[in-house]
Amino acid sequence: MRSDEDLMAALASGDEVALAALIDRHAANVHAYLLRHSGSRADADDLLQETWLRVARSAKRFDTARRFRSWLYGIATNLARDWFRRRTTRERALRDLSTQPAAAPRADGADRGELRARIAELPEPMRAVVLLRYYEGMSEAEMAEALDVPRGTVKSRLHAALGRLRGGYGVSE
Amino acid sequence: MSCEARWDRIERAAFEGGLDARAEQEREHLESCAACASQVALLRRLIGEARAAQPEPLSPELRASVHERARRALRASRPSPIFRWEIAAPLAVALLALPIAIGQGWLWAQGFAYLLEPWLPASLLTGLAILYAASAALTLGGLYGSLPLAALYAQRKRLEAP
Repeated sequence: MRSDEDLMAALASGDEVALAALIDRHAANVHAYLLRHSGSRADADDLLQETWLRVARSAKRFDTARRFRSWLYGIATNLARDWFRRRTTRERALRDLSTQPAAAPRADGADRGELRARIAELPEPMRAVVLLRYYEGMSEAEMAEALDVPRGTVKSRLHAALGRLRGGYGVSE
Repeated sequence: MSCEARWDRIERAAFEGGLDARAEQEREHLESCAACASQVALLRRLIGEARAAQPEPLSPELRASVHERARRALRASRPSPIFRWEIAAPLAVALLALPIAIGQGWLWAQGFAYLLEPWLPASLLTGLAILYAASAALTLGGLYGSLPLAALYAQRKRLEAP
């Protein structure tokens, strides 16, 4: 089986078969990641499409010395972060307009497992490292590449995220 | 060893699939330290939850849409050989037309100069000749220069059409 990086080299020269192979290999996982990140299926669908549009448009700029998976999740994470910022701004504006008490930001998480709901409530940078580490199985080096931050930052975010999550198990830091 | 250093080791072991073995090694400490015990409990749940959460396959509609839109974006981002010819041919014609236009302007200017010499000063005749040659070159250059732009626009429309 051709590696992701080989497929990206082919994609950079316009190979549509390579693009289709990469989508078939990674799209379901990226979709699950975006779904956990955003908590909304409709938003995850949109973000997934935008992620692959960017992959297709930026294929020529991909450095084949890099890991494709880190690059791909970096694109998805950036899009999810922008989406999260837009949503927060929109909700704040709606709250300012409304005379009703503000709705809980993650009401749709009520039917999820307790742990998943707690992950969803983490600040976005911490949520990203938890999802990449445990759900996508990324090493610290891969996460650092994906998030474009130093490894030390990844470690400290993970440490802080686990600290917050641990609060739910009776003992906090 | 501090609890924080233990948390790092426990976390790494959990990621590498050796949480149970690590917990066994640390059993004595875990029995007396609630913070470390809660770290192990959290990681067990996280890993169990992540293993259980297998990604669902994409719906056929979403899959088809992702493939189609990405393929279209890829096509729009690459220059096709036809596209390059569409640009190169009019540019070559424009480059050839430019000296011809200048040469033609110079001949006309020479003819007019011969006819108008008795009535107009030489400096005015030279100015008129330059003006004529430049306007002819600009007209032809503009005409041929617009062809690559039209080709570019048509190509983009065709690639982005559903």
